[in-house]
Amino acid sequence: MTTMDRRTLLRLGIGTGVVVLAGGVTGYELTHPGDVPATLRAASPDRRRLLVLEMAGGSDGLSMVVPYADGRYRDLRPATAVDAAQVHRIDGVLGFHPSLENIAQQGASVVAGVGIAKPDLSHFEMLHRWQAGDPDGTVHPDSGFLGRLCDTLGDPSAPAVGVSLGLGATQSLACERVTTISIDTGNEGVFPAFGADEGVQDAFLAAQHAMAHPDRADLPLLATTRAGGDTALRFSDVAATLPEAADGYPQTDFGSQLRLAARLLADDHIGLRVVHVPMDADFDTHTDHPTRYAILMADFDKALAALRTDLARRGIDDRVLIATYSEFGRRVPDNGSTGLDHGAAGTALLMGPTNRGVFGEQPSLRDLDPDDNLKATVNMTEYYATIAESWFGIPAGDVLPGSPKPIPGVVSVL
Amino acid sequence: MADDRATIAHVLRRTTFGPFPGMTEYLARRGVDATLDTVLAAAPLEPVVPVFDEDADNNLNGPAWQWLRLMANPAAGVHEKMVWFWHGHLTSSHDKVATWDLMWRQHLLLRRHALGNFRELLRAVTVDGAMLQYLDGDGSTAQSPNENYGRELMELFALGLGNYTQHDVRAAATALSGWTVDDDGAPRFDRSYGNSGPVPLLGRQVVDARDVVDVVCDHPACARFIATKIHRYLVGIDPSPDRVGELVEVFARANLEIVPLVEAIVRHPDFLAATFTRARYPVEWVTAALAVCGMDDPALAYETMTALGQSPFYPPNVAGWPPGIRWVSPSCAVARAALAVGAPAIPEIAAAADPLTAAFERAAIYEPSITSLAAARGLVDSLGRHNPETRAAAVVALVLSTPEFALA
Repeated sequence: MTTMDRRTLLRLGIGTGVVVLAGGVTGYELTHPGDVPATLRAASPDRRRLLVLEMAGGSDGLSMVVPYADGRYRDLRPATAVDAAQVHRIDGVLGFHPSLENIAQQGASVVAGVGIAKPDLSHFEMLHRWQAGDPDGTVHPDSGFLGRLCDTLGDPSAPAVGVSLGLGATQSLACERVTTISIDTGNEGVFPAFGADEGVQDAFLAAQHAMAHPDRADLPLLATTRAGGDTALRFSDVAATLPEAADGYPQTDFGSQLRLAARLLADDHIGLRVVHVPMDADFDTHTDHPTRYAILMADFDKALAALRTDLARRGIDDRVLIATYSEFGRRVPDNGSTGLDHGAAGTALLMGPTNRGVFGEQPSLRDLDPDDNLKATVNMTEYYATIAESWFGIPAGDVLPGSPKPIPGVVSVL
Repeated sequence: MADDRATIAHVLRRTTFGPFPGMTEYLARRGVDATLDTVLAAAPLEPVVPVFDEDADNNLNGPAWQWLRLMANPAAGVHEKMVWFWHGHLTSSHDKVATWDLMWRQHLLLRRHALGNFRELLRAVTVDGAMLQYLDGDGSTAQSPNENYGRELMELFALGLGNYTQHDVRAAATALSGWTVDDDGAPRFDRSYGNSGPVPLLGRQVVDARDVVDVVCDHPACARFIATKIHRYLVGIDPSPDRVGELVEVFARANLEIVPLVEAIVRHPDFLAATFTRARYPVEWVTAALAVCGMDDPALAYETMTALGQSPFYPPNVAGWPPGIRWVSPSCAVARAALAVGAPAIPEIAAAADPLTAAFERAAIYEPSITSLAAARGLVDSLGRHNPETRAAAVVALVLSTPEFALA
């Protein structure tokens, strides 16, 4: 499915300038626009971590990375096309959305045409498939793709191998062997104290711990609830010792999520390998797409720039792969409400120690599916295989259905 | 007596936002069947007209707080519980809907139809101003119909995935077109933008919104979809295939009247047997917890619900708040504890000879697990040198943190 055709290979070389090997960890200098940062070399596999950004609602790939040179794009989207003069050009064909200034400068591996063979147009069905790593909705695993990575990579005694920065359990981190947890950026996973007297506080916390011990008489949901308390208390014990937060993040939900993500990724005590960030932003732009998408991308860009600077300052930017996904892209033609209805294949970004440029193949705007959507050129599982195999060294077949092959050349391991 | 109280508490957890202190004991004198009669017959509550302040979510007289007061009203019965169900099913969010006025009109619509007829409810909500804005019916034209409402109507509101095709979505969107919301918040149909000729939907011909709702409601998947979802809400688990068949028959025979369906669900042995099968939703947990604390604090209520991930009038997306174990995840344990540690010293518990039992009973936990009971006893013992007020507050805080109290 993944076709490293001639055009893609050309883009790898030409579109990205020169792929330079970095001699050690390089902090990105935001103050020198125009400089192309050298490609960062990935840390040794055992030190690598993953940060996944979930853009729920269906982010329009053609607006994030715009086929600005294609006249067909403008024909099909009279009301929502991005102005070609405003995009940050990647090559002669594609360019980043105008709001993605920092990403354009700091670099990203663009994976165009990510999707599945027989797309469904339901948010919930498709988000579930992405979270479960079940492209055709036929395997129905109890676990999530990220949860299976955690199971393979993590230590069962660790307080948290995977952390999701959102409320409530998420399918994506569901696992069988290790502990994963969702935490609220508001309290950062720290259990509240009872009263002001230290003795009373200790007694109350001891009672909470006692209550969190398994009770063999519990009905299943009661046991799950009790275990949730235990996980929360164990995480809370280490949450107080996380590295300090950095400045420079935007005062938005996503900014807060990434600020905490950096602290988790920099920590060496909780055994963490994967951070999942469910974005609260609404990418479901059935109406007023151009204005809404520009705001969404501006926040996305600023918060990510702050994160990448933060990781570089902490000296861990070579350890962190940043990966995005959305459950689907959007309909190719406008819908008449200055918006875009649900679509199929979308665009994903990989950032960190990766080679810049466009991977996979941009789907044709002249060969749409019967619903006027983009046909996938890279399967979800091939995208995931790149994360599992190229980044973590986990055979893709261990964590994904079928025998998906990673997209070659993305991760910079030279 | 103890068994009866536990069963009555179970009924009240599932059919109201309680039980509130003393209510289980009061109803225990009359029995389980009489308790069911009481909650089913309870008159719908009448909300006062809220103040619409667009700048303040935390407005004492605003829509959300007025609603929370009704949930916390001991006179509320199944009707109030179903108003909450429909808000999470036929969703709209003030995040996207322009005004509180529109959100409140939709709220009143849900109150009006909560125990009415599903077809009439769906007709009304399909052309409700807030819904037109939320799912982009507002301004959709037959020329280029917006698919959002047509899809979610079938996928999430009435039929479920797999019962329609993309062709049906387009047909429904076409027939639903022509509606706008005017500057006063009133829904308007403009013939010149609407659909005028028949389009094929689910094997029948439809022209307008009313036809669409009729065809959808007549589809065999509809009664099954709604009956299953209400069963899941009230019983906490999916009905068995046989049970679905029975409920579909009840619901269809009643022409989609909601009361016979709800009665059939809660008067069945499955309902009484299904203890500890679902988590309390945050609104349920917070309302019950504040009642245990004897606190009327809608600000704290709203703040805690939001921290738990459930703010009334702000569902996270069109599917509403998902059921399942997310509400008993570790992050929820932390958020619940944040409210619990603020528990006051309740005089009756501080003065009780057995503060432990008094605290559990106040929380309507009549058969606590050995582990929870032992932890609470250990807490009381270790606070022996502290005053009774501190002990009372601490034990209530712990009882509110028990896994038992987290479940409905």
